[in-house]
Amino acid sequence: MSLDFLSPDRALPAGAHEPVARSPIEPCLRRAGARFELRGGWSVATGFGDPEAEARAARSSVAVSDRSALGKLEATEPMEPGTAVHAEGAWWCPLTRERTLVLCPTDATAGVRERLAGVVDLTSGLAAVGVEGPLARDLLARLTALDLRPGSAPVGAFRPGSVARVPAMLLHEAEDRFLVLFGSAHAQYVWEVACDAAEPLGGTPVGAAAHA
Amino acid sequence: MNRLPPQPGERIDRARQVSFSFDGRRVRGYEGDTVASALFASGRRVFSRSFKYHRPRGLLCCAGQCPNCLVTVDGAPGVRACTEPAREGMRVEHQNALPSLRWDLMRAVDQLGGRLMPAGFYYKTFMWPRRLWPLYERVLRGAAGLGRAPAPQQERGRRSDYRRRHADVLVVGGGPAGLSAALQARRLGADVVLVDEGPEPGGHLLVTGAHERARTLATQAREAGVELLAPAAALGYFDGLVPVWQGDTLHQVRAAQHVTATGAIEQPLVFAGNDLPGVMLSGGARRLAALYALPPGGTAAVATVTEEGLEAAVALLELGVRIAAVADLRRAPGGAALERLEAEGVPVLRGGTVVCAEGRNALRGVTLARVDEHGRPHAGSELRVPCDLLIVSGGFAPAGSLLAQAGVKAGYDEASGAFLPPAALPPGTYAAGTVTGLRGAEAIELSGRVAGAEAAHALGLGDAASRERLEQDRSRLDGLRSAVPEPAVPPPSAAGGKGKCFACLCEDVTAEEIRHSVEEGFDSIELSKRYTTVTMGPCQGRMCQLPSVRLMARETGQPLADVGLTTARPPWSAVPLGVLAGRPSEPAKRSPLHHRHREAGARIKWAGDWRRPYDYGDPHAEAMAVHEAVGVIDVSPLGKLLVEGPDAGAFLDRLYPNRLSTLEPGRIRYGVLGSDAGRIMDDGTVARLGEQSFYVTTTSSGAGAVEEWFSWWQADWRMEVRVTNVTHALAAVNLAGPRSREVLAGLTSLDCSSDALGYLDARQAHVAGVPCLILRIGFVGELGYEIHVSSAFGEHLWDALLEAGSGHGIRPFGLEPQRLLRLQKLHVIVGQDTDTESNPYDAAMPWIVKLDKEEDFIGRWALEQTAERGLQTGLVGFRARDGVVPAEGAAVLVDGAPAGRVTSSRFSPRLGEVIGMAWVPAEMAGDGAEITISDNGRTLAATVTTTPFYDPQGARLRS
Repeated sequence: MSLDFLSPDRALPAGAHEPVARSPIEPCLRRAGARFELRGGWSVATGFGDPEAEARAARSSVAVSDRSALGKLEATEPMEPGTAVHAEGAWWCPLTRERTLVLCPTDATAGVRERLAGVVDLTSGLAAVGVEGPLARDLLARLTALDLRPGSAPVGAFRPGSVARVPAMLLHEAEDRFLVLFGSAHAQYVWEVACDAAEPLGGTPVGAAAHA
Repeated sequence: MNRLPPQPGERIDRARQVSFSFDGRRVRGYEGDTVASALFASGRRVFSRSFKYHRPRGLLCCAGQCPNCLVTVDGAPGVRACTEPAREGMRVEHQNALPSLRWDLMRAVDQLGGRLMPAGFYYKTFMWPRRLWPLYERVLRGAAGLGRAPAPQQERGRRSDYRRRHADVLVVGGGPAGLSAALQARRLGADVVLVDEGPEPGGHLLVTGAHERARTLATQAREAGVELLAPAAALGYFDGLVPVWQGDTLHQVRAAQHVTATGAIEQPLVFAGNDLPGVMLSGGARRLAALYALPPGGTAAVATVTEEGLEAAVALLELGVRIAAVADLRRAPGGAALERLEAEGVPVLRGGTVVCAEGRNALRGVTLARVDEHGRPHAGSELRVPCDLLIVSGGFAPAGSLLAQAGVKAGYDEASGAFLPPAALPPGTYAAGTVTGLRGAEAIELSGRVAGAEAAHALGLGDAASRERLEQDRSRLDGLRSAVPEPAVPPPSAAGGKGKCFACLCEDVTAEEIRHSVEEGFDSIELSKRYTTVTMGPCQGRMCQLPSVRLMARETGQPLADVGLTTARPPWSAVPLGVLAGRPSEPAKRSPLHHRHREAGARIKWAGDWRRPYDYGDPHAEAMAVHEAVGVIDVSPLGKLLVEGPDAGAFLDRLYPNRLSTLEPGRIRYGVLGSDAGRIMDDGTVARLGEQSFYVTTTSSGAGAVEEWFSWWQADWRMEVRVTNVTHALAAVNLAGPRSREVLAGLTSLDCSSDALGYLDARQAHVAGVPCLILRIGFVGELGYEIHVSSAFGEHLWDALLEAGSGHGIRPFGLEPQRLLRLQKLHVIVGQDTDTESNPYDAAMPWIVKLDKEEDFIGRWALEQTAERGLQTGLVGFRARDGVVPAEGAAVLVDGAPAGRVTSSRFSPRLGEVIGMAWVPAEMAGDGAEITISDNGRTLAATVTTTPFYDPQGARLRS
């Protein structure tokens, strides 16, 4: 018996049933007025009605985005702990010296999975929230005790730690951009806490359009 | 407004007014004012009523050190008016006075209750009659206290935030030493945070004519990149973590190096009437004048043991305040200030101090006198001085609390008459400025530069040149450590005069009460502290530690060095609990179907750390739907672990008491996880997916613990096996009821017949187009399927099942009907029907233990002993005969004594009777035994059964 039941991309339309993969954060996004598009089999929030304001938040304060549709594959792949590597269009994030979490675009997940050994598909097990903007560290400082100063966590730093009091992993993707990964059952809670903390900083939730 | 002409370093902006309300009345001030300075400018002199005696209190320190100006601001109690910036529209109210600050009925306590309510009265009085204590407590709480606590915060209601800040160097204290330290460390490349309690860094420089130097240093620090947090209070030292409270933010600062430059706190004098409004520390008076252009009084007397007291008198003299007389305890004071005062014709009483103050709600006059070392006035030396202001300066106590929390033990220094930190400090800890006992502007600033450089160098920053400069600075600093002038230690308290003589203003502890505490046997400062509560109030000992230590030394005859200081504990500054609590958010796990449950009107309750639907409005009807048609329940919270690898089967055999390696792929077996002591830890099912792949489910709240348990043993055994927690990755629903097969079959091409998908079979198949793992198991006792699916498709599957089942009477059911259904089958809920002492034998599951297994397994020895010993108690089912549902937890009685307990109980609409499970003595654990249950005063009769109440043969389950 395979582990296909873990992989959202293994769904097939069946009669009247058109399976759509949904982020665990989607109920929160809907309440906030998000607009959705189907991308790679996932319902993805593209925006909240004011693209300019969302882009501005990413440029001048902090933008919070749902990126749970990212492919997330745990595989047997030796790496040195602490630093992730961006290669072949994916982030390779060391969990242990033997196990690696591979983060890849949604539509590349199946292909990447085929190339890996000992894979467990955690795409739907981990929710992902992007934090981007010049105040990204300020927002994260309200959520986690991880030291994210540039000297301590340069781009590529991959850290396990408590974020908003739940177990999480944090990837420093680019200068002012971080990705927070955590158990999808905590998704609505973490999203609410992150958005609440972003508000006093002038931050706002944004859709995939602003993030792109 | 009663303001002085513009002062050179004043903080107020006279072009911009602000107004706020105080007890409903409009108060106007300037931008830059504090609440206290604006109120003082409006003519207010009484700012609060004291904690116990409700005595009027006025401004004393104007620096956030004392408890005299605590007010409620916009509903938040305990705010220090002297450091709280005045803001437009803020609502300020007095606290701890009824009906008003001016007329406080509780002042009667001061007049009448003083003798009846000495320190520690609550240990002795209000003890009888005992049943009236709740009333006494309510009255006492109403009479004492520090304002009313605000309403609790609502979920997601913001009152404060945490902010974590990692830094190379944390400097606490923004006076010249702290600013210099921060600047120097920053210039050498360190990431520096500086914390200062005042509205503006600069410390004493701001009020002693050196404000330009203060502001230059602060500007340089800011421009260099030091993060300045002000006004902000460092609350404590927790192994390198320093929480800092600033407004609505609690900064959790974790720095590699810590510089303490907290300065020294001017101390009051202890004499009769020393708490009257109009008695003010010299620093407080100078702050009012220099920063807010407010004359602190019209006619002043001065009682000092320091040069600073004289300098304050001169500064006020120059502003037009009449200095009526000065008492300087030093026998031979000298210096420019004294000369100036005498040149102005001010009478100076050398070797004298204040012995009492007069007035009821405000100071009317004082008596100065020459005194002996015990504070007794020399006959004939008394001088009565009418005045509305008494400037006192009782010396300076180094503010060493944070250093003490960092492990630094201060010792008494006879030369300076102060408790000082030693020269050698713990690694990573530095001290600079007056907290070390240093005097003199140059030495203070230089000490900061040395500390900053040392901290930076300890981080590996700097170069040879900076190290050489540090050596030079150290040498220069050694040269500047001038001999301290004659230390003038004031007497513990002045004798003479009538009225209360306060050692502790926060808790209204008098010198007399310290004496009483010693008489009663509390003869160490730590014991006296606990008995009298001295140093335990909002000032945290800043104003009362030294006076109380001196009083203790006098009363016990011990040297000050032997009395020592009380233990310094956090918080160093009073802080609202809401700030410590942070945002009121509670991590909650939610299934991917959570919103669907809410839409369906489910009652949501906590179940462990999950939010789960308890029922959808009618638990009995939901249970009946499962019996008669089909129901569906969200079981996504079940723990789910993948166990993979060549040793996976052997690994599980070592963990579970039964055999799992013999399981055929595609088959399922129940498992009870045991501890080393053979106790039940958790339970669930184990499905074999392939030769080297098992899928383990656990209880909803046990997933994390089971994963840890597995990982722990895996690390020890080093078997070729990998454990992955996929709890969050998979949604799961249990489709149950006689028509569940039809519903499932309508959504999948899988052969769902009992022959193809039998009881305890596991299959993978697409259901409604999504790949699922289907486990045919039945916790609720009917034909049923647990369907596990990627959580991204949880909603899709749920919707598809409800749609497909709509023609079959499908109905969602919650936890409550599930508990009833499983009870009918005597299926155990671990943690409810078992506890940490339960083992599989006593829990009526001897069949799960395979002592004949070849391999050893966790808890085997203990279970062998248990099997040999035989049953002592047993978990059984019971039918209650009286139709009353006993409470879960009700006692099972034998001969009138508790001998067991009810673990589960419900009325079953299907069976039409009350059923339950209970632990009973072994001799009663057989079918037909009669037991007695005691429930809240009622006695209920019940009959034991060991077979399930419903479908005992499992025919429906296996159908």
